Amino acid sequence: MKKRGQKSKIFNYLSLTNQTRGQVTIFIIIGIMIVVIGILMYLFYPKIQTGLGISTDNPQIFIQSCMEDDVKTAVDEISSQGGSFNPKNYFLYQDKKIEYLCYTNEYYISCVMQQPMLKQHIENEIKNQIQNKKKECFNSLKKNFESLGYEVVLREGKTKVELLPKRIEVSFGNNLTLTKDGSKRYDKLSVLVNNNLYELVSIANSILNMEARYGDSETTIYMNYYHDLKVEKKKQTDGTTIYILTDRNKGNKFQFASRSLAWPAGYII
Amino acid sequence: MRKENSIVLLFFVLIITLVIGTANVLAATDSASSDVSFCCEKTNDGAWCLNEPESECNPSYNSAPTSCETTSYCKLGTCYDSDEGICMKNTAQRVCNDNGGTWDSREIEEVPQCQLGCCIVSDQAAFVSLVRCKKLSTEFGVEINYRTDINNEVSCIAEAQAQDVGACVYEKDFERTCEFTTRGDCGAGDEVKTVDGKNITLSNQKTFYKDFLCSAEELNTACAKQVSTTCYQGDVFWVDSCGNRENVYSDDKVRSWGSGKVVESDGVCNSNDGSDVDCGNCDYLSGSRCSKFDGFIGGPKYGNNYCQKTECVDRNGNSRINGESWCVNDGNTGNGGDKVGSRYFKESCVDGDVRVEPCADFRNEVCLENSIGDFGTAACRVNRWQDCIMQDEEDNCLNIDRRDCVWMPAVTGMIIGTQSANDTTYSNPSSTGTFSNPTANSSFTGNVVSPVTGQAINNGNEEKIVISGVNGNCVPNFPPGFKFWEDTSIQQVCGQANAKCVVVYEKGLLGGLKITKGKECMEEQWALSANRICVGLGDCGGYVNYKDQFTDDGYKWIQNKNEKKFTPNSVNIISGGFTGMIIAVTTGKEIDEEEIGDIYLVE
Repeated sequence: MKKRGQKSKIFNYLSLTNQTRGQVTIFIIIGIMIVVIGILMYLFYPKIQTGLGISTDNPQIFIQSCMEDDVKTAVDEISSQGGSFNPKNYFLYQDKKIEYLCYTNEYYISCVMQQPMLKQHIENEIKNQIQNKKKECFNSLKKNFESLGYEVVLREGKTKVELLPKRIEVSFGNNLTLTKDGSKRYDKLSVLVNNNLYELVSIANSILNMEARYGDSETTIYMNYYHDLKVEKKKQTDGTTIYILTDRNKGNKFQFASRSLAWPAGYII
Repeated sequence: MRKENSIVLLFFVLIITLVIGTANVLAATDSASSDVSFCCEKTNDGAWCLNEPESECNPSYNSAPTSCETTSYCKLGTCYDSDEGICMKNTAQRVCNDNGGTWDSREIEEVPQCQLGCCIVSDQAAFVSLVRCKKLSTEFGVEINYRTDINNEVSCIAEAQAQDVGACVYEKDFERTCEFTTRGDCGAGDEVKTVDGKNITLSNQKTFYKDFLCSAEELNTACAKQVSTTCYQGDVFWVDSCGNRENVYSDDKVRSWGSGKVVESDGVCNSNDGSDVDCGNCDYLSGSRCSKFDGFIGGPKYGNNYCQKTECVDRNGNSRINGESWCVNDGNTGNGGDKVGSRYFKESCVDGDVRVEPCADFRNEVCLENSIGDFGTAACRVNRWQDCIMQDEEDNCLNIDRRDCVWMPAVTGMIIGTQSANDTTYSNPSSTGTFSNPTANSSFTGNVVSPVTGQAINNGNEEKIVISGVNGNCVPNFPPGFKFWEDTSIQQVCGQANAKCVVVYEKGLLGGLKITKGKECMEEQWALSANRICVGLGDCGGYVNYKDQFTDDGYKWIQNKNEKKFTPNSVNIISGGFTGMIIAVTTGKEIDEEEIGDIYLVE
């Protein structure tokens, strides 16, 4: 009996120990999960916020979160196609339509500039490309703030896209007034994208002027001046030259085509 | 009645004939008009100012049946962007104006707004127009500093580097803080007032201390020295706790700090070619530039930036310094022996990567290289082969200021450039139709199998021995490549070097024949010499391609009706880089007491 009692005590002790161990394990697992979620929130906060429909009372943050990815996608697409979303006069390079920014269809003559106002052209292309998303985001913005109890007055305004040094700014002239325990008015909401397209377009303009003048360009000099810039020049069989400008730090890319002072193959009879 | 019917029938036949005739004429007219080149202000493809058939012109824009050079609407000028201050050459008026630019008919050099000067933005410089300078200064938030007296880019950059730099000290949020910048950007001491007859510069709450670092103890700022490192203009620099750049990084902190004063990079540590991770004085031209250290072991003592080696290794295993460039090609170069399908390339070493830049295809460009000491430089330049075959004097042929040609010995029976290209008595020696586009078939070996027909040989007995040129033939030094898989005119081109060699025999009194003239025509060397000239013309003749495969269907060598081929020994010599073979066809009719050997040039 004594023995049985002792045995029972030992059993209870062991049983208690197992229970405690189980609880500790659960706590550890919960702890790890909290840390992981915390890290995820920290890394992907804006995306999680909109993805889960988490609201914000700052319309600027809302618009930035809602539009940033689409602006980036539009910029990447346009940059890889010579500045146009739907190039018409293009060279097909690795299944990508790359627009001619300086072009002649003849031999022995210099090219004619096709997009002399390249920066403005790109700005317009980006603007056109994000119009649908803009409507969608402003509708979401309105619904979001109405759900938070705000009275929302939203007036349509103009969209302006600006390529600026080291960034692209998309600003919306939409007039937004939020009223709840007071009124707050926003005349401008904007989206900022970290991108060096402005610098790349400046280099492209310089290369295009050389193409128009000499029918060719010397690209090594650009890389000697700008150490973060990579300029690739791919001459094609028909006399077309594909230029790929890359920012080594950010990875931003701008590629375009040019055909100037082309030479035919062999003798002309 | 019959007569009436006949008249009616005749009338209908006449009408039908007229209708058909008119239709044909109209069709012909249409066809002719579609061939006429129009200057399209804009094409249906959206391109500006191209000479195209009328159907390609966008009807909403101007078009005229003339060349664009002669039209007013496609006159090229300079497009000036008044917002950005950028000028673009060779622009048509409408494309400029439609996009908001200002068009000027003058050349870019003559437009006042496009004149360049030195724009100094902080410690950076740009050689740009005045408006561009204003734009840049506004974007970077600094006052405009535009120098028209500096007229080249190098001086401009040097000017920027010569700017006074130092500590710009001011109060912010009750704290004495500092910014390391140029005197101009600091804007200290702008205000000058006269007090008691003396000019006193009032501090606008900012004081500029030339050549001082923000962490200098004398300045008593909140900035602590040497907290981290950063990359700036290719070098590694220390950064203070306020985020200001200090002197070039060195693990010798005391020396690098320089008691809080600006120290030249060479005063901190010697120029670093990438071999010392603890010296931030990277030398771009020696082969190093600032980069982040990604590894775990062997990094810099402080911070995570170091001078990374940027040297490259070329295809031959040689080390190349950053910025160095050199030529690469697919085989033999020059001396009229470039291989079929070969091309020139320029390679350069850029930040540790070998960058390949092909020169123009079909050997329309060649790569030339030079060196300054051990530093190699290369460039693609136009191959001036076009008028080589028109040169009949050696001096003109070898005038390197005007053309890239090579002079080859004369070949009996060959007259380059004077033969009728339209004469097609000889059929295509390789008319089996096996041409293919080398770019469309990876297994293509690049040999030229083009149909080359040669000059007809007269059937009469008036054959004479002719020798090409007086002393030789002028052919391209770097023979051009041909688009032989689609361009049928190549036959005529290669046919220019057809050769016909006449052998004259004399009957002996007791019978038998004795060669009196043209003995060399019977030897293989004659055919090889002719083939060499053929190869020199371009992708003609029996020669090797860039994969070193020899093909013998680019020539036809007929001797007294019998087709002959080069001996294996000769083929070996050619395949091994023989520069200049001929494709020749020796054909001929047996003539009494004469034998004719011909060589036809084929691509």
